Amino acid sequence: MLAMLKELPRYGGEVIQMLRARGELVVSEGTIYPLLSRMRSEGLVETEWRDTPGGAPRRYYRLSRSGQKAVAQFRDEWFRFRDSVDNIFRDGARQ
Amino acid sequence: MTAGHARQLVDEYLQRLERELTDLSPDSRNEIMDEIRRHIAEERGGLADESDATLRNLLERLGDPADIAAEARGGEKARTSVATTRRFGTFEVLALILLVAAWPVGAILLWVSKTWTTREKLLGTLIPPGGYPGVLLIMSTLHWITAASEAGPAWVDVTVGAVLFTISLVALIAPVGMIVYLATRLRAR
Repeated sequence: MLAMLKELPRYGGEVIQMLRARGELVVSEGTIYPLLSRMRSEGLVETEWRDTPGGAPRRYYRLSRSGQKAVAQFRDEWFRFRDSVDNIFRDGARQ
Repeated sequence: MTAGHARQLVDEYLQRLERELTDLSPDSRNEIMDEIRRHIAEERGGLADESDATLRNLLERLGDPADIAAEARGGEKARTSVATTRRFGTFEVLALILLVAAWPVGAILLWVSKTWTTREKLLGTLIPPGGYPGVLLIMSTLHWITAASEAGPAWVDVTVGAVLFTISLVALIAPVGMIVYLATRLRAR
């Protein structure tokens, strides 16, 4: 979820559309909003209001500095985990 | 569907959601209510023809207000669970797997990890000696003894067979038992 906000700020409905497009969604689409709200109260994302053409302004969520750190940290841990699993399978295939 | 009926469906949904969110901070509650209200308005704008079914479908996709509220409160639960499981991770799980599959590596990981006590580490290292590779070695020796005992009288053959069968059974179960024990010690942390 945080990684989806990595490139540029997005609004909640946009995140839901991205998840839909990837076929990853999600029983209750509405749960995306409390998740975003929680990430904001934990300081991982910040919000800003942006005007939309011909509509009410929307709340955009973007990664805060600590959110960026969290993404980088998770990515490192994930790669380390992936590498050790790869190594186990490679060793297993060799035996 | 009349506009009045549509408004009633949406209002009922929003009222239920607001009731479910009462125990949240006003700030979070307003944010979530606001975003859900906007979501419904935008999705309704995209409907080609609004019928009772399409509107209900839209609200169903959003999800049960109770689920949305549970996600909003999830922060507290998630934080405590992170705090209690932080003591062990992938490293310890890997140690347990390798302890039976690739014993020397598993044993080293077991000793490097700070999660187990020295007594548990000793038990994990010695039972079984060598993990399943070790068990295979033991069992091949047993096979050799069985072959030798066949030369003697029948009762020796049967007794030796029964004893060795028991030893093999214990040797096969011991590694699994030890892993389960070490895993329960992890969970107790």
